[in-house]
Amino acid sequence: MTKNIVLALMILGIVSSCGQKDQTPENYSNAITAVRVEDTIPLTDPDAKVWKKAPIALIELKPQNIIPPIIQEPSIKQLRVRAIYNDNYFGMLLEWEDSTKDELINVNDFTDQVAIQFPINPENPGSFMMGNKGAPVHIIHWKALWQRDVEKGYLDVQDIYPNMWVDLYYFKKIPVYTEFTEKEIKFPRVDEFSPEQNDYNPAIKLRNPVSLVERQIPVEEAFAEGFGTFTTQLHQDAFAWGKYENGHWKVIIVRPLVSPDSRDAPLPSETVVAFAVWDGSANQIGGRKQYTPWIPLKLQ
Amino acid sequence: MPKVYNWHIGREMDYPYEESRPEKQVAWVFDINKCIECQTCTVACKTTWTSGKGQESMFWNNVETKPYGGYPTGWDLSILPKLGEQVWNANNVYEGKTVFESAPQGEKVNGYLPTDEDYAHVNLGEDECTQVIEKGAFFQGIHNAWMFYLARICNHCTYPACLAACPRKAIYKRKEDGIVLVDQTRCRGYRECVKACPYKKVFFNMVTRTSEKCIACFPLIEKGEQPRCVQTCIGKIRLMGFLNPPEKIRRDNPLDFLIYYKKIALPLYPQFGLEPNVYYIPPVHVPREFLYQMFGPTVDEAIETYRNAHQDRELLGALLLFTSTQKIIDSFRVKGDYVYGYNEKGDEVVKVPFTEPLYIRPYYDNKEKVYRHTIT
Repeated sequence: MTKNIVLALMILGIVSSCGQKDQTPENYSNAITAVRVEDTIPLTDPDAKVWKKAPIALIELKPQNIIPPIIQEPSIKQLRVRAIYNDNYFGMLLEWEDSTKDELINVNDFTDQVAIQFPINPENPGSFMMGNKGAPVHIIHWKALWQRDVEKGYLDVQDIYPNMWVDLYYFKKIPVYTEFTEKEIKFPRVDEFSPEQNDYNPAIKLRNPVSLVERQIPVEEAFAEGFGTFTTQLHQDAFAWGKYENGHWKVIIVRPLVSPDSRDAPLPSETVVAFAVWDGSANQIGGRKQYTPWIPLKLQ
Repeated sequence: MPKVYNWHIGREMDYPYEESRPEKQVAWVFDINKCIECQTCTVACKTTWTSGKGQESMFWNNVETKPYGGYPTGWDLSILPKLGEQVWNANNVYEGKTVFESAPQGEKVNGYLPTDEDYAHVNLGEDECTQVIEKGAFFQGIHNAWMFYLARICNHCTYPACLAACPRKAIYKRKEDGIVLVDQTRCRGYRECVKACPYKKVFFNMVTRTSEKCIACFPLIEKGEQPRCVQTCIGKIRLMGFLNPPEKIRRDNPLDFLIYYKKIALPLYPQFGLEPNVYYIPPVHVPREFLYQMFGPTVDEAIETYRNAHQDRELLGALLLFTSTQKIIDSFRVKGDYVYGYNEKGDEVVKVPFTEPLYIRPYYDNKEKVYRHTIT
């Protein structure tokens, strides 16, 4: 009995010391090694065994407090990264602690997000903050909100306000108020609108990439060469999928190893990569984020 | 940070971009004394522009009751304390800090983001007076209880805080007329503009996931017509036109005349530092301390001029142009018993009599063989 208690305490000690060990800067990785695998890259399963073949790189996240708008303190301090690749695809598993799953959007609700960034020219990666003129970058950006859209349908007003009432929408007839019937009144959903009905939703009508009601994948590939130049790519070749469990996000991001798209960064055996993580419950969005500088990435 | 000149506060101030005034600036004058809060402007705007999904509680135009009302709830009460002490010196120069100058480190603008509940009570405080009227009291000419109606739209500011705060440069101010717009293809819904605008006139649309705001009915303005909120105003409290740059002001332009020459219409919270372009004729019955805070130190002169308007035919003429025509009035002239308004080409667009002619008809209509309900 005593033995068992001692053993249990020892295990606890090891576990807790591991946790503490992670916090210390000397355990932060200064490079990421991607391991070549024969298996297919799992697109949606962060717990697949194949990920274990790659070593964990523990990356320190810094608060973006350089260019306004900023955050003062990071709410997420570290990111664990595993990278694998096969003949066709390159995949990363990104994990971080976040006590709340933020996947809604409203005036004061922000979503959890993560992005990875590669230099278009690994010889001259340019600024780690979204590149610079002459040194563009390729960004792959996942949002919890977008994944919710894909899983449950485009987030609409009645999802946030289930008891909403609107007397009249010009674009769609609402069933007449049926006080004396049992019939449930269903409000029109925006993802069922015709293009004409979206005349009242200009950003949807204009196909703004943040307003895609028919979104199929929870990720966006973009091109940038400096602040304020984030531009959605015409060709979307990447995929991503996240899983939230016990205060922990695990997000897989997969891209082709070799891409014919000139706006996609090449992946030679040695390049660099940078990360950004947003915590929705800390009202983080845009430049209000945690970031990393360029980190060497080796494809073993 | 560049220095720009803001004539509302009588001095240079910090702004993230260089001074770049438009060729002419869209501007409005609202006569608060005439507003009856019928909300016809609000409904005209709502049915024209914001009846889409995600815009349910979005009002580009709203009319609120001061001192207690405000949409979104407490917008001015929330931002005013953030500026610190707001003092004007004897030369009417603002000595406090603007929303740009008081911005915390790492922010471009000192602002706050309202909650969704703040947008849920559009008419909170409506018609509430500053004190309870005693039972049995009747009007004896002057009473101390007061309130007034404040109609609000986007101010299409000369130094917009929304534009300054947008990290994507998705907001722009048109060089040709000074209208401030959010590019709906470029906006990524960061809400920095919603947070930055001290008037809280940029709104987040949770369905499109972008920010939206008053567009000054630019399709109407482009064809020479005043916006919907002006055209439909029942109380005839509104006049829209173009304000010329300070070096090109003209006395026969009704906006230049009322704002630059007569100084009868004043900007809302000039101490914010945005040089807003909706100008208000202050309510004459409200305690002056309240009005100094809201419209700056020249309230007394504006009210004095307004009270004496009956002695000033030119001023009275300009005031008669309010909501008198759908067309934009570029110049006006008083001739005899009429004031005439002209468009940019010099064509007459409106003719308003100083005294409405009175016709009295007999009670009995001989032709229709009926009695008339009204005879005037």
